[in-house]
Amino acid sequence: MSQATGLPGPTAMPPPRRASPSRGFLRRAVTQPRVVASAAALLVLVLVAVVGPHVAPHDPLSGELSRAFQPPGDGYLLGGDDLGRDILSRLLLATRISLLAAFQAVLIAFAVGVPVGLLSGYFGGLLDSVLMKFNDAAMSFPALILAIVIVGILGPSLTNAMVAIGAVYAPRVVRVVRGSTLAAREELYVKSAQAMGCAHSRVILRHILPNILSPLIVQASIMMGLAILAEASLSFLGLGVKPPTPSWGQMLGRSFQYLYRDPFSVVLVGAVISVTVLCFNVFGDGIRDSVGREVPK
Amino acid sequence: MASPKRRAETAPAHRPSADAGTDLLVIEGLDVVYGGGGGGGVFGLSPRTGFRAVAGVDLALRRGESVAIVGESGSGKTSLLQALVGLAPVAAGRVRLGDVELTRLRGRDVRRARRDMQFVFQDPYSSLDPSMRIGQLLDEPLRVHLRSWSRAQREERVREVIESVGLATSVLGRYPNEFSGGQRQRIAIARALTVEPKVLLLDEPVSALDGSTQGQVLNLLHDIQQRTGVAYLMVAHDLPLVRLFADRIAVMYQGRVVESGPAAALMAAPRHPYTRSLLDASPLPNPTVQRARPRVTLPDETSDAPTPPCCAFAPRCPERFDRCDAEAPAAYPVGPDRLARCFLHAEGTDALEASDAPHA
Amino acid sequence: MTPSPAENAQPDLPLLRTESLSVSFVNRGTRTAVVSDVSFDVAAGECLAIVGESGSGKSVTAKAILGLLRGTNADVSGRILFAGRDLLRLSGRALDRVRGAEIGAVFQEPMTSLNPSFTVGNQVAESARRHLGMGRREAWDRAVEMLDRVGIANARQRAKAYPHEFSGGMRQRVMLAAALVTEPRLLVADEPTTALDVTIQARVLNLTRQLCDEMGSAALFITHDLGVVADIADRVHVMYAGEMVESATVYDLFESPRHPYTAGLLSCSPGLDAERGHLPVIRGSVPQPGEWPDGCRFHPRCPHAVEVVCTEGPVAIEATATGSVRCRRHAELRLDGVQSEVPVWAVRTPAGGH
Repeated sequence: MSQATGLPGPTAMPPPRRASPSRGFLRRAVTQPRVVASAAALLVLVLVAVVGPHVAPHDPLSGELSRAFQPPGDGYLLGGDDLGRDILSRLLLATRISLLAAFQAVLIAFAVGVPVGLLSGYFGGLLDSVLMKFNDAAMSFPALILAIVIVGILGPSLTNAMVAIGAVYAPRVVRVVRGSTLAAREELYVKSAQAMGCAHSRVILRHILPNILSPLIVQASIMMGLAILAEASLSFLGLGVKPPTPSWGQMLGRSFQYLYRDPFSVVLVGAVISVTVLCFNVFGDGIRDSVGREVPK
Repeated sequence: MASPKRRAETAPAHRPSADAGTDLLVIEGLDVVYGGGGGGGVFGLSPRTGFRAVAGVDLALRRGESVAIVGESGSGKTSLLQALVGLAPVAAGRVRLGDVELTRLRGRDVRRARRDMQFVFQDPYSSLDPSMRIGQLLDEPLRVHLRSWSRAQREERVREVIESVGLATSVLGRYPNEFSGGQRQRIAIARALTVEPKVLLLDEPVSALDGSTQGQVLNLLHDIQQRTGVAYLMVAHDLPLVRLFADRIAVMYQGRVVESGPAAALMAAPRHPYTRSLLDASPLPNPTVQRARPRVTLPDETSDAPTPPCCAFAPRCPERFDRCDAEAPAAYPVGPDRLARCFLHAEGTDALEASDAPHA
Repeated sequence: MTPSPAENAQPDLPLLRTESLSVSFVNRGTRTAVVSDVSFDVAAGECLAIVGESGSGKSVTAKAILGLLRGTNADVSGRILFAGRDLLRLSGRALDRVRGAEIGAVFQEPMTSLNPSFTVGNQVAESARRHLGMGRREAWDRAVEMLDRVGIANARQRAKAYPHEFSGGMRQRVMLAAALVTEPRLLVADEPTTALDVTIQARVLNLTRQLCDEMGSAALFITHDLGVVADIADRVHVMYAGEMVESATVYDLFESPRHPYTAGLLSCSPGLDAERGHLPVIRGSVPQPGEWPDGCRFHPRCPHAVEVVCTEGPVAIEATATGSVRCRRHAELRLDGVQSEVPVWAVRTPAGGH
């Protein structure tokens, strides 16, 4: 009937099949307009954060009192704040500071949350029970209150504020990571690696972690938005960045005091914060929707 | 065949010696129990009685031999195989690979011993990590077990092994989801062979494949065995299929081996009523013959489990008599290298010279 | 179904007739054909088996007949005539009436086909209520009777149990009961025993055949297992890559296949004797929808393929003595069927050796 083993010759092309969920989700994501749009906006923001302060027309930290509440014009493109400083220059610097701070916070949250979640989910048992009890306890505190307490203990500064926010958000990261790990642990390719003789570290780092990246990226994106809001809140309350250094929250706080005098600044800074958070959320949503969707065949 | 140079470099302390013809893998009194012991409750302190998937199984595999374990759902065959690589909890018994006792090893030692007993899963679609390229997948066992090898040596070995399963080296840069089931299974087999194991454990390797490609994989496995002398322990549910593959067959029912022996003899004249039922129920792809066969079927499993001690198969057995409900049968010899766990063959009732009934 | 030669003295209309049935799936503008130009008949009371491997389109064909592709991104064309009416042109409500009352269905996975929130008795009775217009009491009694008929012990009590309390084989019997309680004229079974153990499969097959005989129902049996086909079918259609490649009575198909794919499938069957390490195979693998080759879709794997004749242009179906075949070379080829000797293991020797 046919050749001995019936194997196709070396030149036979294997047919392409459906794409698996975790691979290529980025490729699918970029086909969505909202992902592309929000990513573009965020990229612009990052660009501003990097380059902005260098091209600021005026000194963001000091100004002339004679130009206090000056309306836009005459060198101050967005007007002057209550101390006569150029709002535009301050906004440029604040963008860098706020984004950097939020990034720090998210980094801390993940640096703590990912290992804990991985270990807890992978090994289970007593370790998992204990860790989860602590985790649940930490999550039961209202986030902002806890952050305020931590800052209160460490002393008000932007770094401490970000550490506090990172610590407060870490339990949420643990939850997400642990959930994904529990599911990934049951996958056949993980059992295959275990049966092969891989050490636990290899299984976790090479087989579980890369395959749970998609929910993590979604979480990171959304958490950036939350961290920006948190920083704004803390700085608004005076617990974050120290004046005269501007951050979005700081600027919002100050201009809020003079709301009736100059509503424009409040709206401006508020809009910048809102749009940024929105972009992060939309981006995260878009990524999440791209995961698990299979290219139909 | 491995070059002598490679062999010399490997030598971790636990590699089993492999003399031709002697028992390579020996399983004695293996029990696999799920959910038993201290896994549960608050702080893990309340023990639970578990489900015994495998009870007191004895099995041996010789170098270069193919043994098939056949059973239906609930037979424990998959649990047995998985227990050999630590994927199912062993509650009692011993597993010996060469002169290494696997059940006594822990941690890094047991992982090192895995080199000689690699596993191929049933589902070719999920046993390969979708985020890794084929080349990386094949490289992994080498990195785990043969750390002293250089990158060039590993690459060469990977190329060698992927070609030995009939695939081109161009597949190495691609991802698993680009391949069909049959090809993925070949990749999984290749991966298992990279470290030159003594034993290959195969969990229903062709069940998920189309009939027209099953033969390809089985032929390939046979070919590999001829070349490398690897031994196979295969789990399957299809008796007629394993007849074309195995030297010896062990039939399992509810966690126990109920019959074992050389494949041809066992299939020509089964000694256990359950084996007989399996054969009766396997439809022949030949209408004239199939419809002429007597329609004998097994009654369904009843939900009320019989109270031990008794034969687990008794409630459904067409040959049941009193003793079957009162004691559990041992494994009685029924021929050269053959055992059957049935009172029909207990001391006294001797089926040896009944020999094989005349064929049609 | 007692095996009977194909009767050509049938009344004009067969019970079920598909004419040039084609199904394509449309996804974001791309159209992928999965079934193309499938035509077959099922006569009243007969058992027709459609056999094929993955990617053959057999399950999609069954779904099209049952109207399960409505509301999906599937594009179905052709005609499906059931007792003269085109099922594809029926309104949703009219189709509902036909389905259940006159066409019963059993699927592969009884786990997901039975609703876990309702008792099995309820699910069987519901069919009786809706399609036979029975009252609750009457429908319940009928359901119990049906459950008993499919071999569920203590039917009256077990009818109050939920699906998860039954084993796989039992659940499949419940599905059969639900499908047959209205004594439909046609039973469509899509791989009903594939997920079952072989000993359970044997009983379920026996049961299906027995009930269909008693009720005079025809059966459309979709499977990949040639052993099952040999056991219960009167006639067989073989599908490959979305089309019918051969049809014949069951005896004819196995003894003298006309299409190389059929011959290949037969030789690969595990039940037959072969030489270790040299098991017959069909080289290559089944092409998936969207990758069907030009010309004869089987030609890249066919040992008898010839340039031009087999590689160009779609191949039409041609009639044969007892059926049809889609192969331009069928008249010249002499293909092997299954051997008539009985493999040793199928000979019944008592286990005790007495």
